[in-house]
Amino acid sequence: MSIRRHLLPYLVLVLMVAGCADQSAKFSSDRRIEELESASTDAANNLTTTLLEHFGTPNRLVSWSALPIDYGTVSGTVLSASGDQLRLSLETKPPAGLANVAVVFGENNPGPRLAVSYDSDSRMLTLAPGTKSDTLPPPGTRVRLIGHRLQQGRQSFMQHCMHCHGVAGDGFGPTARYIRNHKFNPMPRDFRRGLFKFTSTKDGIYASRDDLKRTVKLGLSGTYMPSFLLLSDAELDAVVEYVRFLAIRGETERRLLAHFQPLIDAKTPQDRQPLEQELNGAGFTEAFNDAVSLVAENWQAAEESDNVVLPTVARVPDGFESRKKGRDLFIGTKINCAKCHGPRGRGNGSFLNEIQENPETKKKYSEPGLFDNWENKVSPRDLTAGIYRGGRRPLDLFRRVTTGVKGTPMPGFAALKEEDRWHIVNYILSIPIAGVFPEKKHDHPDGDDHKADKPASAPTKSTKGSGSPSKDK
Amino acid sequence: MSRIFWCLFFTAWPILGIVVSVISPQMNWGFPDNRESATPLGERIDDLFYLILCIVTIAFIGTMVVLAYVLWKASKNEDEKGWFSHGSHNLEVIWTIVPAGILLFIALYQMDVWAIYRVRDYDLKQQNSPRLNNLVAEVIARQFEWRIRYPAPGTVFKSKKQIDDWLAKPQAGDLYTVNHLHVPLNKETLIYLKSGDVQHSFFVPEMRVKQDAIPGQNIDIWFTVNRAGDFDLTCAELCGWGHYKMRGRVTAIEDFSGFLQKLKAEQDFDGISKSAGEIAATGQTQEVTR
Repeated sequence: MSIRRHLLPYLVLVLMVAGCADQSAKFSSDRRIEELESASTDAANNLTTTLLEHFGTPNRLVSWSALPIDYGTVSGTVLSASGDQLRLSLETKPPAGLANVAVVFGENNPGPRLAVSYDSDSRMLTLAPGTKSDTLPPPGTRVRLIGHRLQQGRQSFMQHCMHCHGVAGDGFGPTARYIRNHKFNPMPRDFRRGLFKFTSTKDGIYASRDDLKRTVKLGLSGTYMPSFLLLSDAELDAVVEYVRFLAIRGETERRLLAHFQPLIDAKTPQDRQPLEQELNGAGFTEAFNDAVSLVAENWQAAEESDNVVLPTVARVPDGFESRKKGRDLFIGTKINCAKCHGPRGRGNGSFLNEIQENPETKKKYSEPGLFDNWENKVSPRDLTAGIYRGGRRPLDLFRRVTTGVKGTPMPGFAALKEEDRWHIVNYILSIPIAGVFPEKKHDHPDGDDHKADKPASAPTKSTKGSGSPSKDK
Repeated sequence: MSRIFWCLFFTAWPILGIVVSVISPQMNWGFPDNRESATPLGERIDDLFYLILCIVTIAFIGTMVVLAYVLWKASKNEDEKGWFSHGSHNLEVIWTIVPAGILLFIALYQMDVWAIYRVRDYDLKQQNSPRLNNLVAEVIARQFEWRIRYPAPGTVFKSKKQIDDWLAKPQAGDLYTVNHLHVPLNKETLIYLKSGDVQHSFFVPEMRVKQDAIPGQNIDIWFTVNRAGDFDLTCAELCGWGHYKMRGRVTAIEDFSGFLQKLKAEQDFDGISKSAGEIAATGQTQEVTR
């Protein structure tokens, strides 16, 4: 009996604690914001409130026309209005469960309202209670409901991607550490640099929507990024839009931190004082506007068809001659793929034994090897495995040779003649296949390349262990 | 009074259980999407399940009737003492032999189905066995996706060794997809299952196929799909935190070689050679087959 007498108060206590917890999610901040905070609280506050104002929180996203993001807009006209309720005529069918979207009246109305819910049967939109000065528009006013796609993207992202990529897309999700512990796996992508490795776009250009969608859809084979092939097209588009949103938010944050960097670097309060005034006032607004317009421009440029890498010359027919030329380029001194990928493409080039320099900070790394822009150690692809993260189509490999892998030491060779790039592609595709390339002594055709077309016919005689079956045992 | 109450109480539960079981198909209380098998073998597996269900039902009803009778009889007569059968040799022989007989019957009766399901590579060791060319694909289960590789279209396997070589190393012309496996309709199909990391299980409920993928092993799966369409493929072995992401699809199509040709055109795409309007102006393939 005494147990029961004691248990009840504890039970009540547990429920109360659970009920009182802060349920509101936040985008985690860049770690350097803590450093900024110790240098200047005002600056850190300024930065975080600006981000909050323009990007919101995961549960209350802010849509903003300055950014090249398709937030998902449903337009229509007001039929009648009363209280906080509007009867609407919408031009397109709204998605099910339309709620918490921004409502913009007219063309350029600065103060949007928030819609709480929409009932598609009665076509009634319920607005969140507004301030007294808010007046409802007359019937016939154009109305736009903005934000459903980003919300859907957020939902799918939280379900499928957040585990690794983190709520803010910083690559520090709860399962990311299991990936970090594994030496063969790249870390989950940190979106906040706006940098994605495998793109179809030219050097220095961001990833296009198609690129991101392809990556989400097909995954990156050989890494922990799985394929989400069976998500619906709408869902994929929404996730891509949300990834772009997170990337833009993160990059804006990074650029603002760079703006405050002198303040972080300043050592004494006397040094900080003038900097604080200079960086925090009008200078901050300017820096913010610059950052946003630059980021927006970069993402917009990625969608332009001029910036897509497309060959003008068709793939050189695959064969011994072409592969040989490709191999000569691969091991030659001019572009020297072998420097990193090794003379036989095993990913063990001599360059890995040297200590490299960080191209951004110009500092030497502490250990030999290659590092990407996220300062993770990376290894050049072992081309004998036949796994191509960015896709195995000749076009994909052509793009890798042309623009490299962004954010990594793999450079692009856009200056190389297109035919030569195709030779390299042909050679790379032949590396994993046993016996098709007479690797060692005799560099004469010998008809070996024809066997490439008939994989399962009798294997090449020169390869070890594949002689006549009777010899095998 | 209370003895009769308990007697009725314990009799009511099995009756309720049987009634619910009988009416549940009409009331649609089963699992959602409980569709007919898409493979002939699956129908036989279903038959086995029903056979076992019948045996279990008979045993259950028989036991419950005896139990109810014993309870009822004892509730009438307060003075009668129980009969303790402990150590009865005859009874023990009976309840050992009867279930053993039933189990032996099930074991022998299902052997054929098991052989068709699991022991199918018996003639692969022979040179030029026609069944060598039932090989459709290799499926690699990995955290958290299914990577699929088809042999180059037109490949002819002449010996088991060639298949082993193909499984061991990528070959020229191999075609690759992910998460969506295509198989020919009405044709015996051989899939080799591998694991890229931990244990997974290749489970296609509608085809009644479930096979664990074991790291380091190439496991053969045989089936013949006789209904065109899409079937869900799931992982049936808890393989990690992202287990639920291993959602795949198996599609049975009549024109399987046509599918391979389309896949080949897509995979050989070099940004210039357009294949049958599949390629948009931007150079991104539209992935018609996926």
